[in-house]
Amino acid sequence: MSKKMIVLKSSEGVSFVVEEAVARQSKIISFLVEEFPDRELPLTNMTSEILRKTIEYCKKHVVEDDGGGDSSSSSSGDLKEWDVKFVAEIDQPRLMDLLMAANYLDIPSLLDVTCQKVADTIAACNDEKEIRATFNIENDFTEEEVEAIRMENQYPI
Amino acid sequence: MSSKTRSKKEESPEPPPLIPSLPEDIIINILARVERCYYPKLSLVSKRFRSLVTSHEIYERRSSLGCTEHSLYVVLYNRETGKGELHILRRNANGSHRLVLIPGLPDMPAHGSFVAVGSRMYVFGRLNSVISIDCRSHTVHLLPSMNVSMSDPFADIIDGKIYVTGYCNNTMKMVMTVFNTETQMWEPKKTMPETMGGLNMWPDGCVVMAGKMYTRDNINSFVFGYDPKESKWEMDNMLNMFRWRDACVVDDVLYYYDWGGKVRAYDPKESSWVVVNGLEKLVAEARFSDRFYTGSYSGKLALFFWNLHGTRVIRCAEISLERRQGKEIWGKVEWCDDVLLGGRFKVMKTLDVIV
Repeated sequence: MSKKMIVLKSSEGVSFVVEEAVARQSKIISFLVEEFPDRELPLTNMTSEILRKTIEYCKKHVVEDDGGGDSSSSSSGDLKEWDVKFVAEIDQPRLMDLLMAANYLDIPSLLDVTCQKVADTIAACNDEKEIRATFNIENDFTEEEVEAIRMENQYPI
Repeated sequence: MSSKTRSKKEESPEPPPLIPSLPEDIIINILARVERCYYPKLSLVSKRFRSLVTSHEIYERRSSLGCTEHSLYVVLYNRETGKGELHILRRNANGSHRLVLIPGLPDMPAHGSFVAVGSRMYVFGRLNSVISIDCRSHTVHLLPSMNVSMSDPFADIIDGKIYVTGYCNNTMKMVMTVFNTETQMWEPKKTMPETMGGLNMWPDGCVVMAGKMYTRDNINSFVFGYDPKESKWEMDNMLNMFRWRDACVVDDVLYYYDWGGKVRAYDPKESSWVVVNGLEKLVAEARFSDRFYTGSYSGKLALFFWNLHGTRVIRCAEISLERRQGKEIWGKVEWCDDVLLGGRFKVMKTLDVIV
């Protein structure tokens, strides 16, 4: 009862052997598997670390989606909890890399959880300076412009 | 760029996370998930952020992601200027709440009617003027005028259609006309059916419950219900048992503050009135006021109370509702704050807007 496996290769040239069903959660991989069966798929812009994380996410989610096997008892609530823990354990730079990976590989649910985590981080920042520092955003306002926006912001948007 | 980011990453050779390098679509995906009360803070981050948080794209994404929020808009009548004003209920940084005037809008009509539909608000003024306000950007749009002139219109929405009723100017006869919010057009003029024509009605606002519109005449004390499916007005005696006014509807149940110091609820399915339990402390405080307004907002009640004379304070309590053992309704006060200080104001209407 061997499952079909495929090979994904990271930017460092490390090969990851993954069940096809797991990898197919990526719409891009799904497409590539059909176009190029039995070939190693090089993911040149993904590091081994990020690829490992992405595969970990997909493995967890494919089991739940199957509804079979040992983990069939976990509800969608448990899965949500797992997602929250999953992104909470990742530091900021890697979270952004994972978000980009989810976008590149087209894995909508992973893109959802990573975008949500970034949104929560933004909301938790005390002020605009902290947002700029956390995400390396350049302040392109003049002091006068900032003052004008502050005046406007006394009122609701 | 900043020393703070750099020092954090000293052990790591990777560059710090770069939001600016993300595709626009991803940035919108992220910012749409941030609560709207943080948007003023976001607008100060950079020019790109500022233009994004006011863009249509972000509000479209908020609805497609299911990240929209309920906002309570309040039309206040300013007794000092004799004009209507539109305010919004906001949460302060310390968790308290206040009403904030939205600037740059025309005066709200003192005898108008207001209907919220999603992120949009419709304002029916005297005679036949109609505007809509897009609450995402607070921009005003002029709509085709009503196809009939009427004074003191009252209006509410059923299945995407706004039913506007009022007195036709010269004949003192009530008329009803219908605005289709999908097509943004008025439907052919409708006159009031005979059943209501014989009565001289002094309508005091209206509510919609379970697909029917109800209006109460507090002078002559009767209630009429309108069923758009049958285009028929009918007297409703059960709903006329109490002299409700400034009422609202949550989940097809009508709520209002009774001057006797109770919040009463009417469920049309059961045809029964109940007193909302659990609000003893709140009504004990509210009894010192002489003006009340009950609004609905995100499935909860917003009870406003103030004094016509005396202290110039409007207080508001947010009440969550729970059904127990079938008919019983219990309320829980989530918070109760002075939401407006100074000035002589009256709450005319509250609107639950989704943005």
